[in-house]
Amino acid sequence: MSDARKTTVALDGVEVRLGGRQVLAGVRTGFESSRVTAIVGPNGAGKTTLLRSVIGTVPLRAGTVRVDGEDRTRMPPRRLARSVALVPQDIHVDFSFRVKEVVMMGRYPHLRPLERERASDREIARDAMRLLGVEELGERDVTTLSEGECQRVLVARALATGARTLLLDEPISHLDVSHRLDLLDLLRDLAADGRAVVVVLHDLDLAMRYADHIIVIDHGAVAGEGAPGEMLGLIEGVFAVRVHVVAEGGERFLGFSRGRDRAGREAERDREDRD
Amino acid sequence: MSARRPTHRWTLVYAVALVVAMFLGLVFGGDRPIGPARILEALGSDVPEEGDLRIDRVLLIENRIPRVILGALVGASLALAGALMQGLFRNPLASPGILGATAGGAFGAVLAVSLGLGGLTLVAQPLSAVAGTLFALTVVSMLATIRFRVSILHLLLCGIAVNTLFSAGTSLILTFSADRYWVSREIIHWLTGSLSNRGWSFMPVILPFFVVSLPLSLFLARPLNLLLMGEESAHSLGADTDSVRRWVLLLTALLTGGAVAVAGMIGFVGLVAPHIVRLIQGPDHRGLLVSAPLFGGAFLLACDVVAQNVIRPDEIQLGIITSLVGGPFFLYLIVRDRGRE
Repeated sequence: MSDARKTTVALDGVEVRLGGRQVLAGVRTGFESSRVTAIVGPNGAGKTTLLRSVIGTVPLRAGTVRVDGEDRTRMPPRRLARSVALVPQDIHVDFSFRVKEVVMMGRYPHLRPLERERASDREIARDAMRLLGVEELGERDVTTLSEGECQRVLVARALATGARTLLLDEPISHLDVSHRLDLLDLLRDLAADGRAVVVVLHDLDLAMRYADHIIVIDHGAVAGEGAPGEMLGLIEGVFAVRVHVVAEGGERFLGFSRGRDRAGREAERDREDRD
Repeated sequence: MSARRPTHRWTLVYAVALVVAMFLGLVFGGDRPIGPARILEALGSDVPEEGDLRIDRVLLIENRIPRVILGALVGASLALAGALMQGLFRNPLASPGILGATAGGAFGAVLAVSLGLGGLTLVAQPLSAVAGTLFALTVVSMLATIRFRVSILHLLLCGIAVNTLFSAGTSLILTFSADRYWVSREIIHWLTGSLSNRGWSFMPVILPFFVVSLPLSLFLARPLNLLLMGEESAHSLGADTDSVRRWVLLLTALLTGGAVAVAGMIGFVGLVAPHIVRLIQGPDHRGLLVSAPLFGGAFLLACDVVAQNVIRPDEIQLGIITSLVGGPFFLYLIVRDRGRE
């Protein structure tokens, strides 16, 4: 239905310096609706900073970030929050809010100062909790939750904002394998609903299998982007590993090893053989 | 673990506690108790021009009534300032006393007195107290904030440093003023914290600050809730974190400055009151920013009653009592946090 893909977020020439270090150097890419985009890259490549440059928690040294066609730096914080929602990497919560209070915080960008939540806000928060399967936890103290539960509560909070673009920074690192697959399935559903889902992933195998589109970040720049199948060679180069593709039951799984010549021609030849 | 916290009911409890504490302050506020019936009689319309009843009437109107109102305002201001700071810095250890705000305010007030601005008391003292508080808070929060993150260790260390600096400055002024009796008496009053000899004339020193700050702080309730989830989360949900920080610093400076200008350095109220309220009714600032001032006012008045009655007819400095209660509580907080890890 929502097949018409639209670019919701566009970055052009984005540069970020933090503590004298160039973290992003001329990033040019975009996030499209109705698909899951995975951002992959080595540690310290600038993946998290890329997300932060979109929500505005790092200053841009150069370049522009457009959100729904509008210059992000000119958008008031609340309007930006209605367009882009973030699930941060750090999900640790120190203060004992109830779960439903946390999810309701997602409605903040829609409320005027001192305005009370309306029935419609409560409905939206409840729907988000239902979708993430945390309905039963509503009255629980959020500091008593397991990491997996907490992660899902924060995804529910992001959903409650109603934002068209969802950014998730390493959302599966705290989850066991079953919850990982659940969450990634959910992200696929959310993209099918027309959202632009952008997820930073360290697990390359899951990234390749669940994402529609891969952005490879290296040394603060986009090393390449495209469909998962086209990115394998690039990934071998960027991570200096050899990628092994195992096919089983119609699905392809990735394994990794240290190639003798560091992800050289051997791996490429293997891939050509398969194709 | 998941007990519901009925916020409104607790607010009512604190309000009742405050009224009770004010009543106790009227009855036991001084070198002899005046019973409730006697209070009504003394405040009634037909009091003879002379005699004991007249003395009680003057005592009540000139001394005890302003004292309980000022005490409630001082306690409420410090507790509200503490609640705002603990929210901003996401740490229950943050408070006006710990972060050097009261020391900065006391230095400002003492400086004003020693420069002979005492004659302008109503204007000079509170304004220089606010200026000192604002300066201390700005320095501490700037030094402790590194790229959107507040390092708690830095925050507390900066607080200690600023505290020490301002206390040294105040002691220096005290040294130079030793030959001026009135000045040094005022300074000691500020250093130990007390409500004695504070009448109606001090009402304009604190009331406007509190009346302005309380409603403004309510606008910060929801953004502060978001901040408790982390600065990045708050920002991504649309809270203007820079503006929240500026407002919190300004309001805590006004509140602490007003409180210090009246009663001097009263420790631990800003730390203990919001914390107890948070333990009871949860961290939601929409309840906390109303309940903490009520509780703080009641707490301070209760301490003041103790201060006035332990060694009657003399009184102990109020700041000593609040510290005797607050110090162990502070230690309890640290030990409890240590047990958690």
